[in-house]
Amino acid sequence: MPLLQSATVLNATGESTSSVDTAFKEPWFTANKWHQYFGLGSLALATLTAIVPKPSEDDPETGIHPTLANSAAILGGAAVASGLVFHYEDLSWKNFTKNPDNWHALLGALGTLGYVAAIADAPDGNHPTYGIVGAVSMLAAIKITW
Amino acid sequence: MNKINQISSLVICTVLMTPYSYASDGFFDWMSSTKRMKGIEAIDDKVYNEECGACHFAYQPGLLPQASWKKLIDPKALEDHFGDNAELDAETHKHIETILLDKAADKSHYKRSRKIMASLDKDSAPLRISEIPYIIEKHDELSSKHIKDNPQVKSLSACAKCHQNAEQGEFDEDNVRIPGFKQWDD
Ligand code: HEC
Ligand code: HEC
Repeated sequence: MPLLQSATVLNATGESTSSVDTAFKEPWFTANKWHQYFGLGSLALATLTAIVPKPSEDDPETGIHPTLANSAAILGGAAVASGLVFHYEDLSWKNFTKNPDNWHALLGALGTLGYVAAIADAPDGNHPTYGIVGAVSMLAAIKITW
Repeated sequence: MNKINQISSLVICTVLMTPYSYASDGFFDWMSSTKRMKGIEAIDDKVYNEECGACHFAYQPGLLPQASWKKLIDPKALEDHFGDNAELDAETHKHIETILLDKAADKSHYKRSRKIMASLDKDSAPLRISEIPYIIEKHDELSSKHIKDNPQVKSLSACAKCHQNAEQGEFDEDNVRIPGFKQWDD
């Protein structure tokens, strides 16, 4: 009989009686999950920002476009902050370029900076560039850890 | 002007991504795939899972570099595999060796395989997954009451006892449940 598997028949002396046999359900709301939702949410909102109608030139601050842009930046900021808090130890100086989490963090931070720069620069004609660089960086950041 | 902006953004982003493509065949396949590759590549091969899962969890090839598997899969070495005889007939051996070498950590784009490779020194070829710096660091908050003195676990090598989705190659903290303990939450 398999050496390691046979251990299951013994009783636990641990602190709870939860049994290994009950089907495991992955929790929906953990620190990791929040981090993930913030990042995905910021990307979704940035994409929406790009496709909704743009505000009129005489009143660039109101309308759905600036609202979505601001929300994208807030979620991006939340993603960066929660990443630093919950996944700080996944970053490393050793073998810097080989660690995918370093790239993930750099691109995610760059993505959020792109959003912020786009908002700061709006309604100037160049601001879409910042927004696009931001969204593409965010997409790449998410892809690395998808 | 707008077109120029858009093109320059693409260029900037591509340049940013380049260093990440260090030494990787299949980089563009990986980039264009939407498959979830956060864990370790799961092995959906009956022969592999039966032979290498007979005595313990069928460790995915993506958990060790090719150099380690070369040492472990050597027919002589299999005769004394951590004190057990894990000999294979020639045909099965060839089949399993191909899987191990093709899907080894240094050949994989899966994130945890990359983390494993990033934590190992160049040319290092550990024989145990439980000796990889990344794996050791990830478990340094656990103590003997969780592992050695836990009759349902006994050894860190028994990955699937705690990682409920280990067979699918998922090792996320969120999917851990240590037998005899409550939901892991650090
Ligand atoms: C006859 C039983 C048996 C078979 C079959 C077997 N193993 Fe093992 N294996 C062991 C034992 C015993 C250990 C040591 C376990 C320990 O020390 O906790 C081990 C350990 C290992 C380890 C190191 C685990 C660690 O501590 O990180 C690897 C890797 C491994 N085996 C791979 C394989 C592969 C690949 C195959 C299929 C070719 C295989 N084993 C088949 C018995 C077996
Ligand atoms: C005693 C239970 C137990 C065993 C056995 C065990 N692990 Fe873990 N593992 C954990 C816990 C708990 C964590 C989360 C630790 C933390 O985040 O502080 C973890 C974390 C990890 C992580 C990092 C997950 C993340 O979200 O960053 C990886 C990768 C991992 N384990 C792989 C393995 C492998 C491979 C094996 C077998 C060689 C193994 N573990 C055996 C309990 C276990």
